Amino acid sequence: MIRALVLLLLTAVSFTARAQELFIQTEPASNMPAGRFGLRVSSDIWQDNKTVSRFGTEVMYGLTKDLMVHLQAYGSNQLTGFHPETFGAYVKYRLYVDDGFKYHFRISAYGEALGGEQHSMSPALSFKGAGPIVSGGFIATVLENRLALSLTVGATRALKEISISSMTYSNITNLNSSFSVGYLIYPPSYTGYSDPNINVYAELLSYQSLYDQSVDGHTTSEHATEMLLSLGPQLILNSVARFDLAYAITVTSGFIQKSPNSFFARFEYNFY
Amino acid sequence: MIKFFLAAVFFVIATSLSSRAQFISADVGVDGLTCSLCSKGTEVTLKKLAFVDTIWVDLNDLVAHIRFKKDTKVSMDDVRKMIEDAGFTVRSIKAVFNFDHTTVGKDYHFVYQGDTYHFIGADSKTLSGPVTLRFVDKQYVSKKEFTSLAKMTSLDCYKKGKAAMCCEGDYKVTGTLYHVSL
Repeated sequence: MIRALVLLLLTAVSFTARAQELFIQTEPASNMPAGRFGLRVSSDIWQDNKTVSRFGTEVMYGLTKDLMVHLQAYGSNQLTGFHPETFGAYVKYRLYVDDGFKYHFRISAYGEALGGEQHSMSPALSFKGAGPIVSGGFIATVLENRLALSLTVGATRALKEISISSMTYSNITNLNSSFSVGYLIYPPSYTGYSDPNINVYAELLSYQSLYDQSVDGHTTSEHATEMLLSLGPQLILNSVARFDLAYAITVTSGFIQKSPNSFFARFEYNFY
Repeated sequence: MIKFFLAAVFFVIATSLSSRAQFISADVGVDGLTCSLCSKGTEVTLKKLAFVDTIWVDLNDLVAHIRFKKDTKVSMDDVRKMIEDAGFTVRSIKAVFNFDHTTVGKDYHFVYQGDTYHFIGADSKTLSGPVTLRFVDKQYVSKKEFTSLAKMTSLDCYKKGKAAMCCEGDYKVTGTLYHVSL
């Protein structure tokens, strides 16, 4: 029944053509193989009076076939010079698996905790590494042949208030969701592991934020929504190294200071 | 004299080779695989098995072609577990076994290296040399085929899975129980 629903969903969105599930801005419901690890380095770059770069590093490890963990650390030159910002862990547990020939449907639960502090521009907390936070949610990913679709829904709670000029945001809770589509455009058929893979992704990221806003000692409960559209290609070499590039456009924002459009680049290496 | 000696050595080697009952190779279909990065992880995982000599995953058909080392115990259950650890599911297993004049038939239980291979729906015949065995345990066949195969055995072990106590009386099971067909 579930598979029938998923196939119905696939048919409904088949106009988007076909793709792969190694999404750039979001995590798929699939895990790394048990006992294997991977390394990531990434950077967000945007303009805010100066060129701001935020760097991230992640070590990923498959603890079991169902459980994997990412240890992560972020830093940026957003304030003065490069400085470390947040660090923490992301865990993902696979709840449901339906595998078929060149098909799979998986549901996972995730949790994340980040300590330290990142200078945030708004309660949207839309940048990778925004924190300190705790968050959790669910991911459903379906993949058939070259097409991948993924839906993430989750909640994030900020563990610290955000002060921008004379305004303070506190009690921030975000309901975040994303819908990602990916398509494998090369190779048309495989000859071996050395074939480069090229995927393209379109990801819609939504952040609905509930927060208290204080100005001059006057506090009100507010809510606002921001939506980002991220588009980008991905290159996989030798079936172990992965290069991601994306441009994230802030499509709509109800925040006083909306998130800037940004470039995102990442390199990942899988140690098998 | 030398010619006679060489001929004798040749005969002994040839006889020992032909009588060596063992798994030679297997084609294992893997479900859930969709990308070369995932396939590589699966291939590297399978290479860690001590009895695997070479492996090649066909990225288009998503079949792992495995050759086994000589004189080592082969465990298809370990192959399955490794593929599951890599995050995927075994769709099918077809393995080539080198038989040495083994007479099989309906519900024949073939014990090899401590594990039991229960033949489902096999006609009485003597097997010699390389023969392809298809693993037909419930997870490797369609529901329709499982129902049809279940009618070919009078023993409940096939319907109930791999529990050793299912085959009783004349059909003692040692080690892991697999169900196979020709």
